[in-house]
Amino acid sequence: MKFFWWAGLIRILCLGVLLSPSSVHAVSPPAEIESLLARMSESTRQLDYRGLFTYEYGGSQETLRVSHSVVNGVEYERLEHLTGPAREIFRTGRKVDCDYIGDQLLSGRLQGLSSNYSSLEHFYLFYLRGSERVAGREAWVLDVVPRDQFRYGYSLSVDRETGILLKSLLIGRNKKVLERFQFVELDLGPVASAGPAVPTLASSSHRMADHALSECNLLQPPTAEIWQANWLPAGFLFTGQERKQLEGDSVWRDVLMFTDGLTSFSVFIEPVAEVAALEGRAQRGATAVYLSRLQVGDEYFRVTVVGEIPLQTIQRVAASIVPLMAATQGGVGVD
Amino acid sequence: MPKAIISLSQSEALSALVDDEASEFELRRILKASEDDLQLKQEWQRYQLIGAAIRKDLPAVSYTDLSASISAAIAADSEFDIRDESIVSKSAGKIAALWSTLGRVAVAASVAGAVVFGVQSYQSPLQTAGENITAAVSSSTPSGLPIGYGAPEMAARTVSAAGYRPATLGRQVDFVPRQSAPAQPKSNAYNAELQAYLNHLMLEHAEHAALNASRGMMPFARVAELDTQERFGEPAGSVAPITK
Repeated sequence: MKFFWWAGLIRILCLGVLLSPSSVHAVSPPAEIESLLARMSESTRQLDYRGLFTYEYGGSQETLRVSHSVVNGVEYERLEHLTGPAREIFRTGRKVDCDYIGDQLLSGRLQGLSSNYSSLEHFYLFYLRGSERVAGREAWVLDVVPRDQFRYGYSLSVDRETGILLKSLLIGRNKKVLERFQFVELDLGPVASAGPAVPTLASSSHRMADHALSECNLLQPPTAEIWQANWLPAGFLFTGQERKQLEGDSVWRDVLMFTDGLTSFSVFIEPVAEVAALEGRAQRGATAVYLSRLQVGDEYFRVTVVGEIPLQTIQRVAASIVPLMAATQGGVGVD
Repeated sequence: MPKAIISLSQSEALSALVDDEASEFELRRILKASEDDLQLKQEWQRYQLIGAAIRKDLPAVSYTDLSASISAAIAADSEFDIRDESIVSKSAGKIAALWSTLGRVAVAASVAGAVVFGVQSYQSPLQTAGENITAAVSSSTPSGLPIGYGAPEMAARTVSAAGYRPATLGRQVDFVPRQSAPAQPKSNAYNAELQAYLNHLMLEHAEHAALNASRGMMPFARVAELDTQERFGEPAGSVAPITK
């Protein structure tokens, strides 16, 4: 009898709540949550650390080694995949005191916004669920539940001592965990080979973190110039754009970037020669991709949206992309 | 059909539904009964309230009846998939309908973290589609409330309902084309090119996310391959016009 089974479950749960000392409690002052999130975003960038973490998604698991150091106020990061094809990524160039829109949203420091955008509390519910041990360290567990169906939720475990994010679950509909990052080992303190580490693998990729797409310490979010999304899930802000010339002048790809502070997605727009461009949707782990087509006059463009957000959201964003006046006047790939 | 007392079997089905354990049949029965049974609706609210109280979620959720406003919002929202489905089934015939069904199964399954069929196996999607229907069905029977109103006991379930998957397959991007099947070129070279293109966009996206999602380099962990591919070429074969 399901009803009685359910009643039994209630009893067990009640007992569990009574027995567990670190029971769930919603943190009432948003300031507390904001300071925890702000600390998380700061210490991930400002501290020296190295460690191993796992990344799980869709039945697969990868192992990675990360190291992060700050030399003369500039970040040096290295990420090496220990499973699968050998690959590593270096990233340098970002100044520690450079806050991007995402950081500012997360810590509620962005000005010039309507009050709707001023706090993540409008888009997520936050629950501090006590603590757990991750990688041998004590961590606060913060559950982040979206208030609408346009974004995913998170369960974040933040190191009590340093504020470094030790574990992150991305949670989709029906509370399914779509991906999990989790440190298995974390060492604090100066990284032995600080400074610009030399790539050791043929398949390494060196990336500058301070490219044109995002500007530091903006007081207001930038405005779109070439393309615009007519529909965005509440709380998402346009944070920057970039055009990549691919082959000569006629082949290019525009990138628009959006974030709500916790989640981000990118919109890629490029001209396609044929009327019949490939359309469809793709998925790996929590990352969803939607390829669609846009017609502007006689021109056809492929609009691709990539992000860790539900496909429905991605589809709606893709369908809402329109050129601004500047696009047609400025001859963006036209004629 | 007004009823004085909710039958025991109905309560049972209702409580199963609260726990997300109701069968398809029970779900339909409840939905039908709830159309004009106020008592049943109240019962449903009470069950949710009890559950929330146990989870100590009460302060965060306002317990007003949201169903009317949610229904109105859905009705007003023209963007949702319902429109797409009707267009496809009317205009594009059987094959398109089959693909659209598979597509929907795939979306539901993949959103749930289950994996449907990779580009590799996409010549014979029918063999693999069947086993994923269960995943899709289980994920497409939500409790009728937007996420956030259910239990936020997030950490309770583990990654992936899909079970074991070979690592090489896991790094594939699962691609489901939108249009009718026969028009899609499906050579291995084409698939490799598509994979490279999708991987490249995911890499670029990871780069943006690493700047704006406040989690350091973690977004780069999602990148399956580093590549030098800069542009995905147009398909070599002829592709039928899009049915939109």
